[in-house]
Amino acid sequence: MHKLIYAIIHAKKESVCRLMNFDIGIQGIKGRELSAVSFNDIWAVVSDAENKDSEMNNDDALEFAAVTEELSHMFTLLPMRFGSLLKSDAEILKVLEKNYDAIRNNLIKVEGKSEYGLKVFRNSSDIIPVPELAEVKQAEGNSVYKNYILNKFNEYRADETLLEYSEKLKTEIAEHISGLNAVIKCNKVTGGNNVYNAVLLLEKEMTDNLTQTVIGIQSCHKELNMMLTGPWAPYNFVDITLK
Amino acid sequence: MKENKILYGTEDMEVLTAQLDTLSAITDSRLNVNADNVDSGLAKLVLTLVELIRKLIEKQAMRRVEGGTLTDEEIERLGETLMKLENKMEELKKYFNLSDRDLNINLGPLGDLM
Repeated sequence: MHKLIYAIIHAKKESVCRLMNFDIGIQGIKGRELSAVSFNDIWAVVSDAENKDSEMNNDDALEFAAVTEELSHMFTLLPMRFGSLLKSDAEILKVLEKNYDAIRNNLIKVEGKSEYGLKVFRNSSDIIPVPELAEVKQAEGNSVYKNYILNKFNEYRADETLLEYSEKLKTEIAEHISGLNAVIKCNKVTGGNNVYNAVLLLEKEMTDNLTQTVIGIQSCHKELNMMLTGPWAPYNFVDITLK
Repeated sequence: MKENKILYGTEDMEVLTAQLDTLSAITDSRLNVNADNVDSGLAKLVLTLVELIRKLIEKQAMRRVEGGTLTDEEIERLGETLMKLENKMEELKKYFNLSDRDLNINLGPLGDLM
């Protein structure tokens, strides 16, 4: 029987004892018991698991995420990637011991903080105008090859304009959020009408301030739809490769 | 998730649905090569790389058009080359039963390739 690792938490012994005694009512995937393996003040929360292949379906992934979610309400934690399996408690202990400093540094970085997702969409694809390009309009008499290039050039200019708009928006949002002492990681936009896609790490008690800030930005941009999600476990702010 | 995770946002379900489409595209866009599908798996990998190079060439060409340094004749030749290249890619995609989405490999934390 392998061990599936959900998260590594930083906690005092008593609170983890409560976890192990099921006082907090959390179970692992497939209703399995949770247990904890510790080294100093860090604990890996684990449950038994059969093998990788049989526990890699979408339902398991959702259950796995729900466990991490519950734990994140109680502890500062580093979420583990779904499917992180080790052979035994002894092996987990070795990993904790070997990576203690890196794990502690990451835990300190995210202590008391949560992750939030901010995505921004255009209301419609033509809301950000592409400059009129008289010189690239198709003209009668052009060859099919020239018209092909002109069409491609129009698409290219549209992409460039959108990129420019996204960059400006990135700067504007960063300025608005700067007062919240947040760490912002901008990701690639997901295509379609998405013009901004970022994750933020900030103090849990700043949730309302962040929401108000986003509402403020939205009120300046009727052409956009903003979506703020969270709080999440700090999935995108853990910088560690376990040895 | 047991709780509502949307702190603020549009109630427009289309936006959410589009996001779900993106997520499922990520799952679909991972390379999956095994003994049973080695031909199509390799074709997908090779065509993805060709498509990436084709798009880079196209972008570079557009920069040159933007720079205004190309003559009409050069634009003609460029158009012919790029158009034929695109058509050939379409043929190959059809032959291997691949869509544009298949050729956009997800690179995990780095995002989509294209």
